[in-house]
Amino acid sequence: MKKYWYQIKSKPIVLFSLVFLILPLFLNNDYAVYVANRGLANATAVIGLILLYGIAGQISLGHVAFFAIGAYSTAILSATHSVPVPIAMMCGILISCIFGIFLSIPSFKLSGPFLSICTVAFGEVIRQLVINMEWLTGGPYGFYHIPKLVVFGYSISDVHTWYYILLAVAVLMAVVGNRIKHSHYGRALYAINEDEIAAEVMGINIRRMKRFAFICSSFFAGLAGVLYAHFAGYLSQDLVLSDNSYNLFTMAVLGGTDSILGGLWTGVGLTAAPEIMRFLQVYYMLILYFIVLLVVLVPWSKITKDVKDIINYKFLHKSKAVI
Amino acid sequence: MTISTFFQLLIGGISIGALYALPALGITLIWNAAGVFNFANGDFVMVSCFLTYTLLSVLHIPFIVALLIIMVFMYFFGVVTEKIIVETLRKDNSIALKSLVCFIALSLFIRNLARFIWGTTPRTVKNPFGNNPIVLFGSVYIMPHTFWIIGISCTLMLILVFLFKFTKLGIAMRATTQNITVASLMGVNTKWIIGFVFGVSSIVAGFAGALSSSIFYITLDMGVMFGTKAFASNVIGGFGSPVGAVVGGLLIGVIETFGASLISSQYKDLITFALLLLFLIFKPKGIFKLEVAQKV
Amino acid sequence: MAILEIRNITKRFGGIVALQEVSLSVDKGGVVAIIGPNGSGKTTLLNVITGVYVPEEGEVLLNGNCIQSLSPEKVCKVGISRTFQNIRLFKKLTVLENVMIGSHKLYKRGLTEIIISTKGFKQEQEQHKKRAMELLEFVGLKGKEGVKPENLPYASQRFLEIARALASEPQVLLLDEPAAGMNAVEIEHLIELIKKLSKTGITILLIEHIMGLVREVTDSVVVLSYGEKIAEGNYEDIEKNTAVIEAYLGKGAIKC
Repeated sequence: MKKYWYQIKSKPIVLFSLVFLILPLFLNNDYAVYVANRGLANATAVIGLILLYGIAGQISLGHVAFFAIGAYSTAILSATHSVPVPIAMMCGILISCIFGIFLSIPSFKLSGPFLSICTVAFGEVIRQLVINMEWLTGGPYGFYHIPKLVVFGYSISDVHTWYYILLAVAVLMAVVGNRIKHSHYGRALYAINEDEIAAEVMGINIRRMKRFAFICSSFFAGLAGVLYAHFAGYLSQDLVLSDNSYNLFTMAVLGGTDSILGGLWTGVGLTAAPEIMRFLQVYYMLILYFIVLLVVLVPWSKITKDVKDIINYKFLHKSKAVI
Repeated sequence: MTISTFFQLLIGGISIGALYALPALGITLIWNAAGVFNFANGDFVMVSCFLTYTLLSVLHIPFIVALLIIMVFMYFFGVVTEKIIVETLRKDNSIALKSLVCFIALSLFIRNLARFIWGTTPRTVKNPFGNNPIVLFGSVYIMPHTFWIIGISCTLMLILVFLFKFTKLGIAMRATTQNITVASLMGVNTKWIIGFVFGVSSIVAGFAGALSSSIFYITLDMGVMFGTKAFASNVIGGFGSPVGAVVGGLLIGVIETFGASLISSQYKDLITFALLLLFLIFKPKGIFKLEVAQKV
Repeated sequence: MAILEIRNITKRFGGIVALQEVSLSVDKGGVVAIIGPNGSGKTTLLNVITGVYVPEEGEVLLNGNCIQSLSPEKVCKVGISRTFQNIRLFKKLTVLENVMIGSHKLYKRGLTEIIISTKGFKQEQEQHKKRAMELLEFVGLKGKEGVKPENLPYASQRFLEIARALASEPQVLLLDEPAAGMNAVEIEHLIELIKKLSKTGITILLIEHIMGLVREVTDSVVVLSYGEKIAEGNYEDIEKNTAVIEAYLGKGAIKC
């Protein structure tokens, strides 16, 4: 453990950890903590999406499918087949990763809108399967009585305990995500995103890297899913709605596309926002997507540059730099 | 299965297929002209459906007039979308990715706007084509809307073909599609043309919506269904090929109708999505294969 | 002793024959130029060598091993590196990171070590970073590590591409019109760079239009026209070769 604390040097993540360590003190009811838990689970899932979309450039709009596969797998194994919870959780993540490998195959030949609709179709197929395979998943009636996680004889059911577990997982996964991003794997993913042919000529195995990106994304989402199953205690088919995939995607975009820390913040933020903004009702969604359009379309770097120039030139009377 | 059932299903399938083919055609138009994928196309259809509902069931405007109003509205809707998203991103390096994100956001925005205006209750429109089945031959009964849908769709497609092949505007459009720089050098107002193409694509989607409203429940989620099926039509027929879009659409309509009757209507959508996945994985270029060469 | 051999390569695109039974051989440590009018198939040949295109007929041999059916990634792994005619740098990465990408195949540490961030992994990163800085200095881009490639002048971008190609420690370096868009001073710098490289033992094959450069650095010149090799030899001979002059200037050009 000590090794990790020494290595978490980057300030943004420390800020995040501190804010969220103190947060429960301000949340006065259990439901708020439960929402925060969901937010942290989403944040973990978003990390995977950021690696896949923000860095590798593969648009994945069926992300919630991996979350659901992880959640339902662990639920079915631990409840229906009495598999010990930790093993069921690991299996859940593994099964999610296998589906991730499967989804990576179309990415070898497809790109852009083709791939994105492929992921939508994938998400839809998973959704249809969850809804229709009632005998397995409980379908519209939901899946109840998921066993609690038991660690060293202590059954984890308190919402506050889960909060700290989920926070630790989210922070840990963010560190892992950043390490991947700043390694040669991360650079290779950026390269593939931009120019596949040039990347291949530089010695990067495109298929291997894409498969890696998809496994990453399904790993993080699957992990989030298995944790969700055991802290929520039940699963409903609302989990697999395509809206949730779009939400995850929006979180990735608004967090700065390739910023893992940004994804953490928006992951929690956009999960909590609908709850906080209940008074805004339908306006909330409209404003949200309007903001997404603003974020993408407005040339922010140009505006900040122009603003800086105006401040420097007009107000501080610095002379214009000679180029 | 009797012959008459077969024909009934076939013609029904073609009719539904036409409804998928129209937005698919719209996607192809925009893709060829501007190089962007209108992810929100399905939601354009949805908006047109709700609009038809308001015009027909609430304001009791006759169908023909409603169609005209929808055409005008959708045209401007399309042009405005183009101005906001495509114009802004024109000079951007990663226009493909960014425009996709924008259209996804637009799609969700439109859906929520529709929810805001019309609420979440599914709507229905009284069938403007009447409910008396027409006898085709033998014991084959076809509902009038089937004919009307096929007829109107065909007419629309023929008009488009005429526009593209035989008018000066059509030639300008095709030139813009193939080489925007040279086209503008030749005096074509390419900025306006791309807006126009968006407008035409929206009108086509509008027709699909207006016609669909007579047979489907109008819900907020229709957009996803239409969008994905239109895309499936494109993929199966060959992305970028207008003929492919139409053929693909008809194929999907027919397969879906037969599948619903033979297997189960519950799994109808699953069949289409599975088919789409299979095509994307194994035959992404579709039936009318299009080679896209990349210069190294 | 030939390190790179191209035997009877034919490449067709539908009905167009881009390369017709082209053969050439490059000695280890040599500098060979491929010249010819536009459209003669020079870049196509480079694409065939690097595995981007698969030839219909013929072989490409590196150290005696057939490589023509290898994927570009494997071609890089066996030791051939290249630059592009139309500059394909990674705009999302900094100058330094672009060079570090070039050495991708040399990284040995795997995923587990990345995640745990072992000492070995960090050492490897430092090593590659140091080497990338050295390469940048070698091509004359010292001090520009944190800049984005699009903010570099055009000639510097070309030098950056060369640095990136060198990062994988190739045996053979293919340069596709490295001098395009450079002014006289920059071309001088490029000539020096190529000469320095050649001294290190690396084999260089370059496509060029600027004859001054070709004359200065190459041991031999191969001329392509309409996909066929029409001449081969050292620069002085090629300069006077009638077939070559005809290819560039047309039939009536020989009169004066």
